[in-house]
Parts: sequence; structure tokens; C-alpha cells
Amino acid sequence: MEKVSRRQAILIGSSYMFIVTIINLPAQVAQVDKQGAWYDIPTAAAAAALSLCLIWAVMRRFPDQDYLAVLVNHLKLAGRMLVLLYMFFFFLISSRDLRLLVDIVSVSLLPQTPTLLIGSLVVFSGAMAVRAGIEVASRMAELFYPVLAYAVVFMLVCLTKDFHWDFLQPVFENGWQGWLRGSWVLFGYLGEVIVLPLIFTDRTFDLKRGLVALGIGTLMLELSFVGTTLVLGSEITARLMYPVYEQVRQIIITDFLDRFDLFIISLWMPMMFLKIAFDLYVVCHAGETLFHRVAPGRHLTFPVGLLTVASSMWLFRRSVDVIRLNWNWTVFTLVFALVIPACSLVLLLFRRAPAR
Amino acid sequence: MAASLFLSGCWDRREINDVAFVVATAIDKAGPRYRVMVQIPLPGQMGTLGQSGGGGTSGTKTFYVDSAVGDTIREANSELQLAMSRRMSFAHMRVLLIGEDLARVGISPVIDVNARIPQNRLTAFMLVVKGQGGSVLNADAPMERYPAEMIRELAGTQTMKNPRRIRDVLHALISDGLDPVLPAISVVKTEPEGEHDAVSTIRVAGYAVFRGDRLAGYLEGGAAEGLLWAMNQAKNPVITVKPPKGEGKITIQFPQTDASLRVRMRQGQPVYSLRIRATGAVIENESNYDLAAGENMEVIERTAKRVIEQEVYQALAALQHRFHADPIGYGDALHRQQYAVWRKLRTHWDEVYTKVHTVVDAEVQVENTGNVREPMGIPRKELTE
Repeated sequence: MEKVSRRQAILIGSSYMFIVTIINLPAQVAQVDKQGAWYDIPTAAAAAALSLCLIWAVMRRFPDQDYLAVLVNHLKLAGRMLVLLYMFFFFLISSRDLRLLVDIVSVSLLPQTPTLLIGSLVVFSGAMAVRAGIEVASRMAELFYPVLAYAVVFMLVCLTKDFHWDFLQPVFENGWQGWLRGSWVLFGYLGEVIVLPLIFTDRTFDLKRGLVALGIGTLMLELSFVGTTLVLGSEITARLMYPVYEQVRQIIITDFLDRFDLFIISLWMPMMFLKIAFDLYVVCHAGETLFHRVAPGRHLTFPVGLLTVASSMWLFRRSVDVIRLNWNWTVFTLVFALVIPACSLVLLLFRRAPAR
Repeated sequence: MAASLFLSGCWDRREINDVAFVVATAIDKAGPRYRVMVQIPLPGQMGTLGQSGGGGTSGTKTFYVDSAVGDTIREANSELQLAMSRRMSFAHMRVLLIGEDLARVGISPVIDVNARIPQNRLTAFMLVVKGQGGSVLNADAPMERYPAEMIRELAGTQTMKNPRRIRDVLHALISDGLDPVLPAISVVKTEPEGEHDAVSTIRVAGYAVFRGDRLAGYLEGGAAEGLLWAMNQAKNPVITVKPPKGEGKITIQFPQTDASLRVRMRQGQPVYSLRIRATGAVIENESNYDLAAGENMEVIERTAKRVIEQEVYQALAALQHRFHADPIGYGDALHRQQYAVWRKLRTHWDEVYTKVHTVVDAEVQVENTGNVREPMGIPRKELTE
């Protein structure tokens, strides 16, 4: 029986789409749509909401089963293939997230420490956190995520005197093309909110809670992206690797109270650890759904973690490789967040499980 | 616990007494190369008079200055490091100084290294030095423990409302329709009674206006004040006006100022209106003009309004016709407020900019006359009303 509460599930979903998106994406959105992030984010969120609706339309027909279980139990071989693809998709997400974390730690905090060691330590912690299930990690998310959310608001309050409201003008500078391109690159990350129906049954996840998680994540992203634009401007934002981190470094309260970046990083880093832990859990959960008679999930965490470390170094040889991937990553997300759920809905439209 | 074993390697560990914290950097041209001069405070010498501190350094001066030459800034820093027993850390660099020669050649190369290395901060103040950039780092600056501290305080309190930081210069350099402007400082001698008591100190000496990334010239005096008014960066500006009657002058200080720049199109041409609001108080009346009588305050307000507008027009004339530089952001305002027009004009904006017309409207309110009403020290019969 799941021991994750509905509130914890909302926080997991919200953090899943926020924690990693704020690393590089503000720069890429500024590159294609200048100061238009404030309308690109809701557009991408609307597409992510559609994916939640599609998946929920399938899940509500099959109580007590998460989406992966529905695919395996009711689409037989095709369902197994799809779950295998989802497993691979989230494995790629975990490799990408690990690489992003390793890069930002290596560039900003520990330039001399070998990246392989940083990655290994992160994955080791994440694997330990989810080895016995998701409950521990979800409780940690319940602890750290609200604190991080308050810190984001606090950060913006401190930066109010540095806001240049004219940096939000002109609106629609790059027209509908900029709007589409900005939303395109954002959807690649926002679409990851589909993690909730993949790991939770209808006892923990339903459409309303999924949309609440999406709404909170969208609000956090709006605050971060727009705050960065107001402080740094779209031109500087577009050239930075880590614009939100640079935004935090602009906080100056008095002459000598100007080192809040480490404080904010100390709140963000545990959430990043948890994100990677959740990524590992999703992969292991998919593996357990496929091979439950052979491999209980807890036996998969460390092997999957090791593979994640290896693939993060092998697939992304340098930090700019992740940025290059972001332009095309949305294709994958579209398939797994919209196309597959839509197809599964059509195939399962007239099937229904017995009442609970 | 097993993972914590790896902490014994700790590749990024640095003991604090193996670090030299650079508080100011000055960059000059040395022929085709760069000269980088750094100032490092010596904590060991910063105890009270007669005592030394406990920071592990020796000598009597409270700071250490050294310079090196290189083809690039990083190369010059590497050369500097070879002569230092401690690893330089730029994380606490508060001031970046640009020598005049380098400013004339272009400051873009300086910006990249300051943005790319995470240790550097975009919040450091940036200033231009009249003459050699390194000259100010060796000034006596007796008011503070080391010159960099004095420069930082001058930049933060005596220049603009929002002092220019590397971030602001970067924004101006890579944005359309905006040029950087930086405070200019120079080394001067103090003027005590005995000449042998004079020491060198640092003074704000106007503002360096850039066209693109190259220094176009300096604005000083009334034109400099006018530039700050127009940029909405005037910090506690002071105006001295001559009253319509009587002898002497009246000084007014404006703690609250605001300026807004709007652009609208008239017959296909952009016309700018610069609205300035200033609220202040009389801080000195060495004239015999009685401000409390009749409508004298209103008269002074109108006089102050004319002075402010004159200073702004003076600045605009210099910027448009002498320097061809746009630190106020006329192009940026057009970009943000009339984007369709900007798209047509951006390719030949330099030409258009020199011809745009500005209407300056200052609204001045002098709220009070301080602790006294009539001029003190002047008999009533000599006051003019």
C-alpha cells in the first residue's frame, strides 16, 4: 500500500517540473523569445495539462493501477513495449538531470573535484533514498520544497529594488514564432509532470491534484523566469549558463550582506538530489512493473544508478551537450506525454476494469 | 558513511591563510598588451594604531599592490600569481577600474573574463580612471584602510542612485540603443594648511561617456548633473540658484528625484519627452532674499526648474552632437515603447539620434527651508522681499 499522501504527491509533481527547469532553460527561452517567458510558460503548462488529462482519462477506468500497470495489464505485449520505452525515457531524464547537477556544481562550486566523483556521490545518495520505496524521499520533498518556495519569494523581495520593469517590453518582440519556440523548449521539461500518474495509483493521484501540482510548478517557474528577466534583462540572461543562479548573486542587502547564493543553493541542492532519486525510482518502478517476478524494485536502484552515472558522462561529453539536446528534447516529451497517452486512450476507450 | 570517505580527498579545499583576497583590480593598456594591477588587503596590518593584527602577514602597510603584463587579462593574472605565495581569489573584488587608455581602445575584452569565471561577481562597481588605472590603487586615501574601500564608498554613495556595476555595463554593451556611462575618478592632493601635510586622495571627476565600448569623452560640472537628471540617477543633487533680487545665492538639495522618458511619433519622427520630478529643501541661503515672504518660494522653484532643464539640455547637446553616445537610452526607449518604429530606424539609428528633439519638463517642489525661515545673520531691514 502506498504511504505517500496526496499533498506529498503534489509537491513531488511540482518539484519535478521546477527544480531542473530553472538551471539552463531561462537562457534558452530568452535566446528565442527574449522577454516572452511569462507567456511561454503558461502555454507549455497548458500542453502539460492536456497530457495529464489524457492519462487520467485512461487511469480512471482502471482503479488501483498506475498508468504503467494499466499499460502492462491491458495492452499486453504492446503495453510492455511502451513501459520499456517509458523506462528508457526516464533513464535519459535521470542521466540528463545528473549531468546538469554535476556541471553546475563543477563550474560554480567545486571546479577541482572530478565530475565522476560528484555524480557518483549524488547517485549513491539518491539510490539510498529510494531503495526501500518512495516514502522517505517524498517526506524529504515535503520538508525542503516549501522552504525553497519561500526562499524564491524572499529572493524576489530582496531584488525588488533591482527590477527594471521596462525589461519586459516590448511584448511579443519575436512574434508568434518566438512564442512557439519558447513554449516548445519549455514543454520538454514541463511535460515531465506525467511522472505522477506513472508512479501513483488513483488513491494518491487524480487529475485535480495533478493540475494543482502543475499550477504550483508553473507559478514557481514564472517567478524565477520573470525575476531573472527583470533583474538581468533578456540579453544577459540569454548568454549565461545558469541565469537564475546569477540572479541570486545579485542580492545585496547591505554592503556586506551579499552572499545569499550559497544559502539558496543549500536549499536547492537537496531538491536536486531528490529529483534524481525520483528519476531512479521511476526507472526502477517501471522495471518492477515489467519484471516484477524477477527483479523487485529495490534490487534495481544501485545498478540503475551506476548506469545513470556512466550514461550521464558518456551521452553528454561536455556541458553544452545538454543545452544542444534541449532544442530536440521536446520531441521525446511530446511522444511520451501526448502521443502515447492519446493512443492508449483510443485503444482502451471501451475497456473498463471491474469496480473496486 | 562510506560516501563520506571521499571527502578526505577534498580537491577544492583551500585554507584561508593560503588565499589572497583581491578587493580591487585596475586594468590598463601596456602597448598592445594588458597590465593588470591588483590590490590585496593585509589583515595582519589592520590592527589599531601601534598594534599589528593577527593575520599572518608582515610589514606596516595595510594593503599590497602588484601588477603584471599579459596578452590577455587571464595571462596577466597568471603572471601575477607567480609572484604570490597565496592563491588570488577574486570572489571579494568590489571594484574594477579601467584606465583611460584602455577605455579609449575598448572595454569589451575586459567584460568577458569577469562574467565567465564564476568566482567574479557582476555586482562589482566599475569606474574609469583619468590617467593610469593603477595610480588610484597606490593613493594614500587616508579616510579608509585601503584605497579600494574608498573607491567603493565613493562609487556607492557619491555617484549615482544605482551605481554602475559590471552587470549594468554588460547590459549596455549588448543591448540595442544604449551606451555605457561610468563614473570617472582621479588622484588628487588634499589641500591642508601646510603643504608638507598634503596626501594623495581619490576624487570623483565627472562621468566617462562611451560610444559602444570606447570612451567618447567626459562630462563634468553642469552637463554631468544634467546627464544624471536625465538618466534618473541623480543622487541627492544640489542646485545653486541666484535669487531674482538681492545679493548672494541659495542652495537647494533634492533627496527625492524621478525622471521618466517617453517617446511618441510626430510626423514619422520620434519626439522624446523627459519629465523630471524633484522634491527638495533649501539647505543654504547666503543671500538676503526672504524665502518666507510672499511667493518667493514659488519664484525659487521656477528658477530651480530652469536650472535643471538647462543642465539637461547641456548634457543632451554634448551627447548628441559631441560624443554621439546614448547613455540615457533613447534608442532603448524607442525599442521598448515603439518597437515597430525601432525596427525601421535601428540600422541608421546613429544618424537619427543626433537629430531627435527632446522636450524637458522639470517639476520642482521645495518643501521646506530647513530649521530657519529668513536668512540668518542678516538684519531684517536688509532683507529683500
